[in-house]
Amino acid sequence: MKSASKDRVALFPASRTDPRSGVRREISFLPNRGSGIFMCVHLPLGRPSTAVVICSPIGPESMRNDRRESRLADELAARGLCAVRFHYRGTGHSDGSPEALSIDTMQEDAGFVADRIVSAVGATSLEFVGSRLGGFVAAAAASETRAPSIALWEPVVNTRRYFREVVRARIMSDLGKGEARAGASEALFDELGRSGSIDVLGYPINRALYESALERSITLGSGDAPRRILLIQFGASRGVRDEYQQMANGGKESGRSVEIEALGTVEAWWFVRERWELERSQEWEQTLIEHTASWLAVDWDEGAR
Amino acid sequence: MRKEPSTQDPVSRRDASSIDETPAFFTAGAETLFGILTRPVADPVGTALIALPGGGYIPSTHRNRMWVRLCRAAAAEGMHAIRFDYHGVGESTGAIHRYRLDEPFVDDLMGAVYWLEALGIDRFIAVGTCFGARTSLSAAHLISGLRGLVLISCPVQDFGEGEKASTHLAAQWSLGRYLRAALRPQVIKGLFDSRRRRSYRRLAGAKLRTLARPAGRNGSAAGSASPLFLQPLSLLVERGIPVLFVYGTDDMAYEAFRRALDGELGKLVARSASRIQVETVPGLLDGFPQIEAQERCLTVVREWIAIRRL
Repeated sequence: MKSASKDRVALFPASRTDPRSGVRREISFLPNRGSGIFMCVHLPLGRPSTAVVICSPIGPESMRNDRRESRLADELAARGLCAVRFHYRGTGHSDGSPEALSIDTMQEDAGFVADRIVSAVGATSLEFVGSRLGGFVAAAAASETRAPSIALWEPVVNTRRYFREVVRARIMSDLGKGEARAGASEALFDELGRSGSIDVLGYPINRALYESALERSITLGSGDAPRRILLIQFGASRGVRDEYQQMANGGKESGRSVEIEALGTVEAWWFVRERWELERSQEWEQTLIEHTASWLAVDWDEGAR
Repeated sequence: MRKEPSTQDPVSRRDASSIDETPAFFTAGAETLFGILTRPVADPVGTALIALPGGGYIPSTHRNRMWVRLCRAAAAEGMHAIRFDYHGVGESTGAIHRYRLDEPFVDDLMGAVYWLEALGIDRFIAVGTCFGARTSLSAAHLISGLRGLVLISCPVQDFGEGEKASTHLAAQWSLGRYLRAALRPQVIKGLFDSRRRRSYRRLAGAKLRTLARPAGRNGSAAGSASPLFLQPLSLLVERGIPVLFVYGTDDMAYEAFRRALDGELGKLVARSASRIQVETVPGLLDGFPQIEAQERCLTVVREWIAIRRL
């Protein structure tokens, strides 16, 4: 049996084209520091001037969000932008050890992918999308690359609170099995410190990730942060949460254009659940995708303001 | 059971990685599916492992990269391996209209098989979880080069999306118990909540379906295995193809499997001359919400495949 050579893997990505939209999807592994990063590029007809890097969440949140991100990328490409999705080292199809996954490696991967896609397609502008902890990564990468626009889907603002929510998901699952006990939350954090890893609903939360993320927060008002921000809030409430309002205020005070949308829909990011709904029945997702894509596709000229 | 010796010095054996993998698109029916082929990193044995995820839009990585790990481990044993996204999932085209265990995605699996055959591979071991297990079981008779089947947390009854718990209860609870539950104050209060009403309808519907199907007719009676599970399994027994069932001890599907052993399934297992094996791991494999159970499951599967890959 003939097998592809190593060179062929890099040079000839798997590719398919949507006959209706002309959007071409190319998938390959991108070598970074000896590890392959799984990357999926959505290319429009014609040469794109803007590349959008989509930074995913982690754990089961990435499985929940994967299809949305894929549809968003297709929508962006249909509007003439190039969109790239990828798996951080240590996650998904990518190489790398989950134990080594940290906010720093995630940011490094996002920056690496951004550099490569800009040079590969000849884009003159970069934009970012980030969901949950990926919002963190996207915000940092956007600042580093001075990207003008960023869209954030239910971003993690306070990482300490985020990990508490994640641990709570494990405790609630244990409760359902009659296994929860008093002080369970602190016990799990102690275990994380002791053994280096805890199991949250079948996914490891490792010390490297936890410690690298602690005490960090997204700030949209600092010097190199994007000038234009779209913040989408998930959750049942239509009122904007305080943490997002504060973050938005920080951005506005420093002259940024910040738009907040509350979807009014609940997403149980970390729960393994039996009931789920077919894609076609999720109208709010279609609205989310179209709105985000059209916002990113706006040819926003800072000089004109 | 005697383990076949590896042809490669274990010291020099290395794990597969992305450098040994080829992402690819292949056709399956009217759709274009995405898969990743892992090439062997030991002396090739000419057998491919096909890894099928469960339902519910689970991509080809599976939960916590289980399929990535399994495919790369299979490559270290000299096997080719493919993990792929069903239509409507991940990088594949199409849309899913519904998930039902009696309507598995046979076309998707056969697309992968035909693609591998076109690459010159003609021996296969399929590994599927839950919906993926039923898909591989339903397609087995179409795969002439099938050398083994691993069915993880495989439901023996048929149900659709969102009906797992209600189907399980329908088999467990008597009608009297249903009626007593319905009269509880919190249940009556729940009638005023639309989400709870939908749950109650599902529960009631599942029970009514079991009552409407008397034992012995086409369609499974409460507690017995579906003919759509038994018939393909029976064909595998006739072909002499080994089958490994792996369950978590806490899986609802395991409970249903054990009940079904009292009926036709038990006779089939007895007839199989030990070609049907059943292994359990402590905890839950359904949905794979426990890392330890995932690891134990993968170990069981790897050991079984290592013997049967040749």
